Amino acid sequence: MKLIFNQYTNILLVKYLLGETTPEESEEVRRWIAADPGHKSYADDLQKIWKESRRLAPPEPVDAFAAWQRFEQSGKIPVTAGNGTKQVRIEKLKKIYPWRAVAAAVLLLAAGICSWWTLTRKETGKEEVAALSIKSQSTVRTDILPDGSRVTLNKFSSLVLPGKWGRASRVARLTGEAFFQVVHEPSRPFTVEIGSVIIRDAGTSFNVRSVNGTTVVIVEDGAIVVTDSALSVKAAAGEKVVITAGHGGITKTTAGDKLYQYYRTKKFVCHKTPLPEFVAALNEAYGVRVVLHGDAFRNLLLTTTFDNDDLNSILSVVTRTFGLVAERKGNLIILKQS
Amino acid sequence: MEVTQQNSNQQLNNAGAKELEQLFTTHFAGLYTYAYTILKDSHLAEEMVQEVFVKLYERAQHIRITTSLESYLYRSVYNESLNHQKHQKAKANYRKFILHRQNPAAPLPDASNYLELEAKLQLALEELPEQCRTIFQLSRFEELKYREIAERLGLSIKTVENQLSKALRIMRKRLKGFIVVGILLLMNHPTP
Repeated sequence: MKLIFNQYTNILLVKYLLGETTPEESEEVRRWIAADPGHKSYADDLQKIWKESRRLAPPEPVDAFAAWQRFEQSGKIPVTAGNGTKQVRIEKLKKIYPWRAVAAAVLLLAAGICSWWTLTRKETGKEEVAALSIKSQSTVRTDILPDGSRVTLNKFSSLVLPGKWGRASRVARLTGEAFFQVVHEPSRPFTVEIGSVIIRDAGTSFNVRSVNGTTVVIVEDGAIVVTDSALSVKAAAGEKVVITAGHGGITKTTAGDKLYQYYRTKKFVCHKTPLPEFVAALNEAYGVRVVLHGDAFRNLLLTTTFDNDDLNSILSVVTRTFGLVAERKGNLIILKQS
Repeated sequence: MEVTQQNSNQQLNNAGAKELEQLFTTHFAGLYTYAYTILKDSHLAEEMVQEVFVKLYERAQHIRITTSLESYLYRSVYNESLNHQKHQKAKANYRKFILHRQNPAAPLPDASNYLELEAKLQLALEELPEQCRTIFQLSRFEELKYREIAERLGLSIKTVENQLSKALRIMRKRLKGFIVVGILLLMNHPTP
């Protein structure tokens, strides 16, 4: 079938499709469509393409303010977190000469080698270390700190050790989530700062996660002291401390399930875990969007362990356990009651 | 949603934290969606937008924006995303190989039609030149009127008309045959 129409018709047709035509133009388009079945099928094609292309959009609404906060906290721009009124000066860059660029590159390389060297060495002879920053992107990473302590950063998290780290104390600033296995030294306590929350250890391993102003610390071994402003609480192995920013409240409970370990162990250990919590962990671990459609999901409690299973088999167990169905739409997976 | 064009350069030069925040939050949704349609990964898409703003921030004094600020932001996100994609393709092939080795199970069979159509649409979009794609993006995902698009990108309405017409023509050419069959299949076999 040969379609005889020109550039003008196509422009008009698209305008019509997007509701941009004047009444006269609309009339013209309708006449054109009615004139030939080929015209109609062409117009239908365009409409279908327009309609279907919608599915390429992100599956969930975008929260620009939350995104800004993440950007601010990412440390990529020198803006003081939470203090939007502070002016930041943009310094004028001087003209860069080629030899300067070479010198800078050499310096950077040297700095890189130094930090790599200090990071990977288990023991440091010298106490003084320059400021270090460890950052994870889309994968979980484990590093050994200069004092031999081990840290596992979940995705998109960062740990900053200020200059002179380790001389009298060991203070690390965290954003995101990390698991620490601390080498205990009473003379230099290990401290993790996350926002206003300060966690001091006494030879322990513990997990810290901070999302949207809520910090959760779970102790696996030993004991810690968690402080926020004037409040302070001591927690031991198997205990969980929750601090909510702004409320100034600290609550301590028993840790419950071991779901939080998944990013480190590749195991999902659920013990009476509400389904929405498990799904949130799945989404984070697999970078997918599983959503629950309907309500009463909080009452669905899951007790099982998935050890390095792939997403499809995990979903198949979940759907069979609770009698749900999984529906895929692009990279969105919807779970609902069957 | 208003950033006046005439003071956009000045806005950059004086970009304090507050201005940067405003600029970021105003344009985040659109830019993020743009990066997402290219990369299909929410984390990556967000990272691309962050990258563009980091560069904008660092080079505020040196960027001379000859068109509009929005047109600059969209083009930057487009370029950033494509660069990333190019860089990641080699890595992705390797990752696919590893994933397949660890998990040879095929994806849910009922998802295949859906995914295939999505992939085709994605490929069709990739055929569009930058300006054409940006205009399509603003029209499709931000649902802006021709006039609004023209104002934001500093173009004439005629250009917007031409480019959108071109976008759909190219996409139809790529999807011809498939779109009809694909959609019919979907209607006959809805996913459970």
